[in-house]
Amino acid sequence: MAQTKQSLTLPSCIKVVKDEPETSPSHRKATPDPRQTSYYGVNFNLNEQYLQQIQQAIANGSKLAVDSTTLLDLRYYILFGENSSLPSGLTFCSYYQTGNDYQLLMRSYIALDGDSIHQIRHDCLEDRQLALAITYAHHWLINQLMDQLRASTKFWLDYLSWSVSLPIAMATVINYWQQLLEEPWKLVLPPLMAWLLQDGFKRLLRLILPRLKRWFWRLLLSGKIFRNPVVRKSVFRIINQLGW
Amino acid sequence: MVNSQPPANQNQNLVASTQKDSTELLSNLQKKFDGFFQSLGDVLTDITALEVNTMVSKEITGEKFIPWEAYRDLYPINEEYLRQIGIDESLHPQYLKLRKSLELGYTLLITDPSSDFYEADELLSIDTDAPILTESEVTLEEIDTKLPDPNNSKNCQYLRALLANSRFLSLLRKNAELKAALDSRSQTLLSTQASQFNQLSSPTFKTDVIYAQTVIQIDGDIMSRYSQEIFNHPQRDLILQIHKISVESGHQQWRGLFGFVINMVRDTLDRGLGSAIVSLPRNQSNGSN
Repeated sequence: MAQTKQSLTLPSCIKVVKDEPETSPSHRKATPDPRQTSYYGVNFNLNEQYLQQIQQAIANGSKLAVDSTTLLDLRYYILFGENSSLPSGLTFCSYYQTGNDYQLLMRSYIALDGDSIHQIRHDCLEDRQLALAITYAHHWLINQLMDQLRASTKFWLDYLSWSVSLPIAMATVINYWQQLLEEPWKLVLPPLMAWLLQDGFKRLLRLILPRLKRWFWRLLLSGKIFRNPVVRKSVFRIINQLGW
Repeated sequence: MVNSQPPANQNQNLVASTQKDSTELLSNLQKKFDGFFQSLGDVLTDITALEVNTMVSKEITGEKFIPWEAYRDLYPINEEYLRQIGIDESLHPQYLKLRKSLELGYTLLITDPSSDFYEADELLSIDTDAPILTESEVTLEEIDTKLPDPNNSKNCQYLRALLANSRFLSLLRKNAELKAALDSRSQTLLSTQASQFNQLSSPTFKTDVIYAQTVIQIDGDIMSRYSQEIFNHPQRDLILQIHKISVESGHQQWRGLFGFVINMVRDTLDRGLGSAIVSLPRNQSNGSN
């Protein structure tokens, strides 16, 4: 029997940690202090239940459902994380809940230049099963995040195209209601029309979008226009929500 | 870099010309887009292999990385300083190695004409002025450090720029990670020495050392190194298994991360430029072998 590939949701498990110098206008400084850095990292808060769910997900080949805010933060972290430029690497920490306490059991530093350092706490090794479960979960979570970094424009395209074509089809149905009732076979036409419209519209968007997208990203990455981090983050949020 | 070999075959010519084109394109881009592409270019030139390290730590702290702090703590390291702050003698070579690699990284930066930190006037000759580049056995005491002193306020501006340089920053970051492990190891050594007399002989094994390291070269060669401590470790197989999981994921993780950045560049630029950047690291590895 075919497995149903549901995506796994782990509420409040993934957290992108920020340590921004105050960005509120009253605290903004003209030049940032070099001793202050906007450090980011990603924390995974795990517990027994989450570990089991992750093991299940690995076995089933399911994906992790990552909410858009987390992805937005993560993308921002990768592109502008340190001193408004590419960070040298990313840090991922896995915390495990024992009682009311969270203990840091595993930490990975993944540098963009290809080096990585993975640390595991020594007393964690005494429980073989836990050590392996944490390791698998830790890497699976990182992999899932990395896989989903690349935004898909498909969803947005579908959404936009259908929201243009459906109202048109609806309007047609309302206008020609009488005719449709007289000849019921014509009821096939509105859905067909809606589908054709959205398909055509999607094709059109695909032609224009890359240019628009390129132009946007150039502005954003060149850092000339959006030098102000608050403005940049807002623009970044908008284009992320569009699925770019 | 001049290749003194007899006439290169067509392939090599192609590689060389693509490499030249890519480098040219990259330098044009750097003029065009400051910041982001500068950093990306720096990262690209440093990629020669994927390296996965597995470390068993006594305690892991989620401490944040502050470049200034890391630099301030690495800069003063020398034999005398280590003795002063009470670091165990057995760890001195490793500390010195980190400091030396930072010195080397910086010297390479200031002798590289394409870098912003190039100092043409100060370096008259590499073998007299930068022995760290030519003599492998040279000790820190024998060289005048070229690194700027963080305690001198005159250097503040310069150091700020240096700490924003992604090539230097990634070296500093890695050394800071390794130093943190050494610090923790030093702490453990001190506390075991202190409690040696009333200790109930619990099986002690080294923590905060890299137990296993796997290097995957861009041309596909894979090398693994193991610390000799691992052979006596009670959880040897488990550590090796954990390392194996990290290696298996390492490739995917790095590809995801790097792919995202490259994709972003590709989306931003015209097709030709984007793919030229992507092809750069491979060409460089061919060229250097």
